[in-house]
Amino acid sequence: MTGSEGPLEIGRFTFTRDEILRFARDFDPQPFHVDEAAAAASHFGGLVASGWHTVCTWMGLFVRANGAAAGLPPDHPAVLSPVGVGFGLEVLKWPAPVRADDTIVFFTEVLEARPSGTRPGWTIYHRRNSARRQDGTEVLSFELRHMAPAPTS
Amino acid sequence: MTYFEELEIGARETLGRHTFRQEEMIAFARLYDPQPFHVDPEAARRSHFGALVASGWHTAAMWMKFFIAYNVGSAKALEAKGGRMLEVGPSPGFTNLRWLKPVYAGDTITYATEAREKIATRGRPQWGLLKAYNSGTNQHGDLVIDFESAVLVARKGG
Repeated sequence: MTGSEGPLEIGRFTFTRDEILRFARDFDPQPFHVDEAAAAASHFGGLVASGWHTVCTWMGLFVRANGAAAGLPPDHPAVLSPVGVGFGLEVLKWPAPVRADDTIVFFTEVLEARPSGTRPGWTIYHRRNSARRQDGTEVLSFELRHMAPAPTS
Repeated sequence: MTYFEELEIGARETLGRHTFRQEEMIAFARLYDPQPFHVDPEAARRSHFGALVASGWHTAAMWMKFFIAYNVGSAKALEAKGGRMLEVGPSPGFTNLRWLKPVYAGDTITYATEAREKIATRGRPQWGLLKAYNSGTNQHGDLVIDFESAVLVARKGG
């Protein structure tokens, strides 16, 4: 199995001012992420979300979009590990800023899927993931490799 | 972080250490990676990890926290010596991130950065591009995460 029918929407999220500040204070307290006056004076001209916030939000939506099939036993791998284990990613880009009150639409696309050689019933995925503002501007793209159990069996 | 001209290729800086507590791992993962082995200790025990593990994104975001704190600290030190407050520019992204080992509750991760390549950017005389190798290592000396970044660093004459 290779490829898919192009990018699939996994969800959307509105980055409010408070959300941007909350994440950035914890993990990325650069002035243009945590200080509205400093952000206005920066080359961004206003508060922008941490790029790590954007990509972490992608992950949260990806997990929620991949719930296990109903009726599986609680110890089924698809219940315990719905999207499995990440190996890593090759190139991650933040090509445009996410500003306060931007609503961002998140996508995933399977580039390749093949059975794991070591873990029966699991699949190794190579995905291209992305996020766009509602005007279509891409704000995030990255290629992820991970191994996940089959959603049913 | 120092001025672009003073960056030494191959120099490794320890950014800081963090011990991952179960409560913060669960709080992060509930928002950004709510798989049972990240948010539910009982389910994690039954998973292939055998215990609760931190989201790889949590491990990565924590690197960023220590990178910023380290830069703020060295910028203040530079300013105290009469230098100008440094600016590190926004990051366009990174490459080749790997999650090599799980991070369990109670693990202490040491974060580091190492200058790999300096590129003078034409048309931006006030900045130079620094390529760096970044990592997190656990208390057993095992690499748990690494990635490469490119960041703009202020030049002396800028």
